[in-house]
Amino acid sequence: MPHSQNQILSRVSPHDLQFLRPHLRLVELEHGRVIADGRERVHTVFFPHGGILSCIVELKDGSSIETGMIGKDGVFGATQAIDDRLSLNKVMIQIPGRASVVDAAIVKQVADSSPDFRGLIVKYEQFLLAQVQQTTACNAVHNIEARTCKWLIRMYDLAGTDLPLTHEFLAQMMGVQRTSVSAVASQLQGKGLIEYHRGRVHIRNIKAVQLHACECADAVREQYAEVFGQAQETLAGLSGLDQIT
Amino acid sequence: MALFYFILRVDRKTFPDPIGEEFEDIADARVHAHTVACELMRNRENRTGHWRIQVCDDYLQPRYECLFAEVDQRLQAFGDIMRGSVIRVARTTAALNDAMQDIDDTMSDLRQTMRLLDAATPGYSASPVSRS
Repeated sequence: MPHSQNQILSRVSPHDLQFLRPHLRLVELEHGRVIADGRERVHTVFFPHGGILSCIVELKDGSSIETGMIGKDGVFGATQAIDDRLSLNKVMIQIPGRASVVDAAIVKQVADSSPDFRGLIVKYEQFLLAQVQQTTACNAVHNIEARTCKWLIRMYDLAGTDLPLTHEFLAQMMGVQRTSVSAVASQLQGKGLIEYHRGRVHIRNIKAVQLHACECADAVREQYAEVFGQAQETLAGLSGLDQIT
Repeated sequence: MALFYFILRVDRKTFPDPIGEEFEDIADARVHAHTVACELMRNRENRTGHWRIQVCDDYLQPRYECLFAEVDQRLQAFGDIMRGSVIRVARTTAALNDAMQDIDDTMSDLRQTMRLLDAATPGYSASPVSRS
């Protein structure tokens, strides 16, 4: 089973992996499924391979905004598993794909017995916190076009150039009106950066998208490299992955 | 409920709204246009002051136009006279762009007519382009 497609699992030591491996199973991530609600206990830990999970803050007036994305570079539920804690916010599947999952109790056992594994989980939590902080600043200060492009770059890093995304969903993630997203998407399409057709966004020119994005996309990449000592783009082909497939 | 389309107009370029939104009436659609204008303008007010959103009905007939300058909160700090002046400039710029777009469209129609005429009457060339 290709558990190694998740970059956190690919970093787990062979010893810890030996314990984890029998408990890991593959699941399909279906678009829109909520895998954790706010203030709910986390029973399952997700290590995505290709799909994307969105951390969403919901407000009382019914609006919501995405504050973090978890993809093949991360894990959802591991820190909560270590501490028997609750999920702080809603987490839903934004882009379908596959994930390795394991019971939270198993993750807790491994973390209790292995400082290396615990350290890895803490490192990722540190990155996720940095990503959330960057997103907060971005939402407050940057304009909608730059934010959309930053968002597309992060999606490109995690899921590639073809993204099953409606304007409606993108608007919900960005906390703006659908009409605003359509206007920006129309402008980006006019410049030849993306193509939008029947609920699918195709990134035609990622370099040009980067030119229109704010600095936050690069900042998130740098934060990942800072925490894990390696840039995200180069992680897919790490040596030794076959050990856990 | 009625369907409205919110078309963004920047200089002489038009960015269509392929989906549209349903609202009770034009008043609600106007409020929505103002909200969208504020979102598109936020944190780049200087670059978008001359943009506008055209609200069209189900038959794509224009029903209302929202000038970004009209909803720019920053202008309120400068008083009514200054604000009115900026809005007038934005409105005039929009009208000028529309007029230039009309000229472009007319020229395009004219060229097309001349090409058709050339094709229909062999040996006679109405189009200066085809002569060269």
